[in-house]
Amino acid sequence: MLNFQDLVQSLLNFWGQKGCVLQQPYDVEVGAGTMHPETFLRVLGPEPYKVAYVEPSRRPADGRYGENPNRLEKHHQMQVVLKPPPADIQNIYLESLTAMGINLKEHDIKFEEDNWEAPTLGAWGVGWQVMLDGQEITQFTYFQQAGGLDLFPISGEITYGLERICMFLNDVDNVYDLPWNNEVTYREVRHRDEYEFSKYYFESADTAMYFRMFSDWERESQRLLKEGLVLAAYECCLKCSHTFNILDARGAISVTERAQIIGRVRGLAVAVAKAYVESRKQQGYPLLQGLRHESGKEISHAV
Amino acid sequence: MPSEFYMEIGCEEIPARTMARSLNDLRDRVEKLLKEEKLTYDRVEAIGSARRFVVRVPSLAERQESRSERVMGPPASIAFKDGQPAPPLIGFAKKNNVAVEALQKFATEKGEYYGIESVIEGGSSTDILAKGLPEIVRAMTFPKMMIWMDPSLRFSRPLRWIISRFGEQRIPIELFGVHSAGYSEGHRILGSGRVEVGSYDDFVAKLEQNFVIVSQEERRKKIERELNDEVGRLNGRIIGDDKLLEEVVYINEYPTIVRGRFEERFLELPREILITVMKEHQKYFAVEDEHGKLLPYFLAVMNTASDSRGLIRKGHERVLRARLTDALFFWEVDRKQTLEDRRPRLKSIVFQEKLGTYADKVKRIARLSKKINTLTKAKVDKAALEKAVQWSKSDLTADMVREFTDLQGIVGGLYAKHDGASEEVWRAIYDQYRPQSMDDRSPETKSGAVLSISDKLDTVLGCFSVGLIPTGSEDPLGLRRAMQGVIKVLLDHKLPFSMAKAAGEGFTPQLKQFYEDRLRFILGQRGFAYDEINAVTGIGCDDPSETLDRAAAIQRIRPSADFEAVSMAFKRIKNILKQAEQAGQVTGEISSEGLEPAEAELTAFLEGAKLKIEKLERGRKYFKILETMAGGRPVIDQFFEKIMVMHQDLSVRKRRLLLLGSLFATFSRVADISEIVVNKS
Repeated sequence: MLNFQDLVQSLLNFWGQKGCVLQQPYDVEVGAGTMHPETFLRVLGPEPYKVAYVEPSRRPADGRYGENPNRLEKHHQMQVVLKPPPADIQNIYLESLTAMGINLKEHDIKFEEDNWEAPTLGAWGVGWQVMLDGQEITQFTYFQQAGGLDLFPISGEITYGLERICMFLNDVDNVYDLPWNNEVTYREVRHRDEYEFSKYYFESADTAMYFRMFSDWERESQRLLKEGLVLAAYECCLKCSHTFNILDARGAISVTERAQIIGRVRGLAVAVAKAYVESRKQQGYPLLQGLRHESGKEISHAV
Repeated sequence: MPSEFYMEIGCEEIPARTMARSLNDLRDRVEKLLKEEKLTYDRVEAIGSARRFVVRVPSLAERQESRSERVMGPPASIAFKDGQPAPPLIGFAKKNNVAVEALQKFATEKGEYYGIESVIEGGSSTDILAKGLPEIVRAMTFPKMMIWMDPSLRFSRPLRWIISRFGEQRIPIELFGVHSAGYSEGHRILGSGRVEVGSYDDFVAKLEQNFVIVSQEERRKKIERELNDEVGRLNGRIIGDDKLLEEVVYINEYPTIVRGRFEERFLELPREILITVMKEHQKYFAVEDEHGKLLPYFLAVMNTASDSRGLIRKGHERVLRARLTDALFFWEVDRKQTLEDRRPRLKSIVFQEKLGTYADKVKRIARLSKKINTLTKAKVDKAALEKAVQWSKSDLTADMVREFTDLQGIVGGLYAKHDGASEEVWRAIYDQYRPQSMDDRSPETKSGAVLSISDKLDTVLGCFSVGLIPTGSEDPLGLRRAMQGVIKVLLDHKLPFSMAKAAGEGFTPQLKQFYEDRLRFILGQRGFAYDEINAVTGIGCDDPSETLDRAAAIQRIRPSADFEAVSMAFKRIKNILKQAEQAGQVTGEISSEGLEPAEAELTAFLEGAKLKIEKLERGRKYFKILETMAGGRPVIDQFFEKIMVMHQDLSVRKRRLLLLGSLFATFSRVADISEIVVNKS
């Protein structure tokens, strides 16, 4: 039985051996691993890429003061992106389950339709939720669009819900009972975190400041785009997204404002995506040197 | 010699909800190809599971029939001169590049001609299929399509292998970069990877050895059999659900039932909630005892052969426990606030961007429901209706509904009951979203009927008012279903109605058309022929249940010979009246001069009928009206036999036209009889 940190390590090892760049979590608050530039930006344009990393994912509205056994304000995703996806990507994924000690023949595994969509990123994809004995453990997506741009080549994205998988492996009903390692539990490492941040997001966050910050980050992002500093502009866009999530959890956003604010974040994401594609083009697609797509065709610069 | 053909398209897991439709689509397209190419076959079958579409023709001709083709040359009479080929014949032979001696003489209707007959060999099935099948697969469409290897090619999910075999031959096919080969793939976990296969029987057998049951019917049978075995052991019965069954048939390539249990304390939750959590969220079948009481068990369909160590059961039980714990928590916490307490929060939930929040919707429903209550003569207590409306949407703010959205309405009803609302009130809230489809039941109570009609009609009227009108296959807000729901409730409760009055200012020509189309659709579903529907809607159909009564009367009297004759006469009358109208007003005084007996008898019949019909109409005795009308056959027939309507004397003509007009109007209170198509043979 793997404890939480061994589970993380076994997955990183597995994907590292498959040729993935092992990245670190992004040091800006994000709601999901997809928002890390190593996914959102790398899936754009013609350059191939393989990457894996853990992403602590912040969802202010999901905070439960540490009282709910299944729901967290911050959970951990293992994010893997394979661009382009190999034809046996599903089998490789299943091997990764074996690598964490699951004997697949003793379990019920299903790939059930689940199409992913992230309106704030102008992104959507087609895929499945992977069910293990009735528990959703992974979101598996073939990206089709990001930042409002059609993608080619396509990226295969695998997102593991680490807490859920670890609870399954350890036959534990409460996330806080998970062994983080062999000495401390998830509760001891994270419980206070959940309590304080729930209180912060729901009761204490300074909404006036966050509204101000939203506009500031938005302006900063737009300014940076004009200067061609795409990566920094994206970081500001992520700041806006997190700021929005906090305001939303705090109940500070009215119905009419909501759609409008989502539209503003999407506006930034779309502008960043366009600028990023252009920037890579001007750099001469560094990762494309001497590479051909699996179909044998020269990769067209379709984006 | 005819041989067996089959093709397997191997894919990554196809969405279960689309499989049945796609298999039908594939079968139809293959059948169409075979018909168009005139290839003889016995039947086309489409079978499939999550990872494969299979199409099979047990007996398919090897090639098209060969056919002969003639090219005609000159008539025999001028072909020869003095026993020698004449220039026309020589020219014809030369043009067609054959020797004169090779020409044949054919007898035709126009006499004898010289010409050429050649036999054209039919194309081989292999060639036709090799060309046609890729086109068929590429043309398949799915609700959501994706690209993965070529930006110009879309399919449901990535295509990974192809088998295409005719007799002993492999048909070469290429699709999405994949070439047809001789192997399939078994179950993802239990199978041994690639499986070499030969004939169709071999294919089915090898896949079964590799834990894939290809036939959806076989899988369905296995699931049903095992479900029955399990409930037999529990002395219970399955809470049946065709949609759930269909889904698990296509999700699992090797379905096997596993029985799990949940703690009895969860039985405290209302049955509706327990079933929804099991069914919608976990795809489990719920079980009840012979008295209809829910049992603390569930039956899950797993995609594997067995659960020898009980790990799968344990896993499913764990997941359900977490779900039910949530539900129980919501059930306890939600009820601490009444629906009235929750009402103000509807201001922050958007119904539709242009139509405002649910608080706005509730206000609109409140106004509309009063009108509907009056129009339908439902006589729902005003205070009760008011309460039901005010609380109808409050459950949207409850955690239970936020987590289990399919429970909207039902949860509201249950919470209202807990708040102490009267049965009339809570049942109305409980049933407000019914009927969800044409097969679903309508609300049980009159108050539920009024609320359901008001809510749905408000959605339709609101959307039409801001230009959200369904077009073609696009109906994202489900307005067609909503309008059909309104009509179904009116019919099921036999409520009088006026769509024009209910819609008021919103009764635009577009809405009228939309409503009539939905009503016609429902009448069609209830077995009325298109001409019967035309006939009854032709004179207006503002009230659905009254329209249904008229349609039923028409359908009932239709087989009678007298009615048939009279409806033919009415067609004639309609034409005469139309022509007279086009010719302009007939002027002059009505004269009683030259009143012929046949005319007088028809007039007498009409006068007698008029009185009777007025009374019958008030009692909605439509069949009796039609009977009366059919009874007029002798006088009507006699009239047309003896009387010249378009008489030279304009005053006589006018008299006769007025008589026919009056006859037509009197009997058109049930339907426009002239629309009925009479089979003349």
